[in-house]
Amino acid sequence: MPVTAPAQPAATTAALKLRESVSQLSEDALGRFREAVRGFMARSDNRGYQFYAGWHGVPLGLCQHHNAVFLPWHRGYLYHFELALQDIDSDVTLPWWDWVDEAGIPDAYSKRTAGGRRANVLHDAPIKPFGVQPRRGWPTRTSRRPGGDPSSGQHPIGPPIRQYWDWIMEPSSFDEFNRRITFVHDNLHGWVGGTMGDPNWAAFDPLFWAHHTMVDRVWRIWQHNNPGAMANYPFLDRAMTYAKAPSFKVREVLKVSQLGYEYAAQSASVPGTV
Amino acid sequence: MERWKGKPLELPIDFGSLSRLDLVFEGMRRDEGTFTAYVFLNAPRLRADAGRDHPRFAAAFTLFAHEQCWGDEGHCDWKREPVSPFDMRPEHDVTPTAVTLDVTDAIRRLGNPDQLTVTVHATKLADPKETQGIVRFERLTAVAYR
Repeated sequence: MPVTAPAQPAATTAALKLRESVSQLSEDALGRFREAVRGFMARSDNRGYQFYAGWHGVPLGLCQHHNAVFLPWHRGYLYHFELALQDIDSDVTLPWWDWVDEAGIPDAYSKRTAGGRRANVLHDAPIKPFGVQPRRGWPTRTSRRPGGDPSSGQHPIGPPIRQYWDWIMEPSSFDEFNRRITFVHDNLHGWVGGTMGDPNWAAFDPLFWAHHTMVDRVWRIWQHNNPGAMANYPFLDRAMTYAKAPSFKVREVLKVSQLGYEYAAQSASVPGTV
Repeated sequence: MERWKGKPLELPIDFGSLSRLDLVFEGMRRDEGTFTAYVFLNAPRLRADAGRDHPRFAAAFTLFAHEQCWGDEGHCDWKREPVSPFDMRPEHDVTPTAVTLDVTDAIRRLGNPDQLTVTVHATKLADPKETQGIVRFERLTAVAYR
């Protein structure tokens, strides 16, 4: 039996979709996700991957970092991106990259091929920002350099980062949690490196979406542990901008069930009586 | 790698009664690319390759920052002012931020110092050989909580 919740705006009850760890997806589920991403990338109009990737950095620059709406804005961004993906296959959801307990970049994203000798659409992607002429010096494809050059200077910490879990989860204040998860978020962007290390291009990398789904999951877990902690948050009515409707106020993205999803490490169902 | 060494911060407090000490890098620029910084306290002779295991290491952070402006002239000018009293647009997306580091544990390891000298080693992600302009901020403030 699926978990259900009232769906806005019709106030009907609808089944929530579960976001799962990419490393826990069945071969079939991962294959369907890849096919949906492939179809998403094939769309060149304002329903396609390049259009949505361009909200974050080039060309639209709507992303929010190092401020009070970092987590809410990205939750809304994932909502829009996931619905566009579900226009291709309504059963797929955004999987998360478990950088708390798993080392390196997940195989699903790091292997060059998938399903035989076919290119793995999660490995990299073209960078063709929607509606603008490319400029000299722009990257044309996403790149990664996990861990960077170990012989040069200061480095971010690579996954798994389990040793920081208690530190991340410790605060009861959202401001402090936001500060700590921002550190972790920035650290992992830097650890992946390449175009993931630059807000202008990061969202063109398929791994960006698994990374931010994990960030959103960590926030969701913190919300579980701190119910009501954001009831008097002073930015609840702050409007957040996206390139398609709906826009959101912060208060409208606090309950993930109202956005149609939940997180699960694993899930299982059995038939009921009807 | 870029090294920044601050002037000594005078701290006339009893570190024994301290519950927390933060270092706040105010006005941290984030329009010159992502970098990783290691922060050391009272470390006068610090090698360039000093790491997280150095006894005077206090904290580290990576700042996710825009590498370069891709727009026309003025596109990344974050210093813009409201053009009218009705201008409700949010601040520019590369407006400098504050980076707060909790260095309480590191302070406790130092004992009860009269002064605190902060040294930052920073490496730019896109160009590890770069030696300047990597970490830029307006002010460093130590905030002690009892």
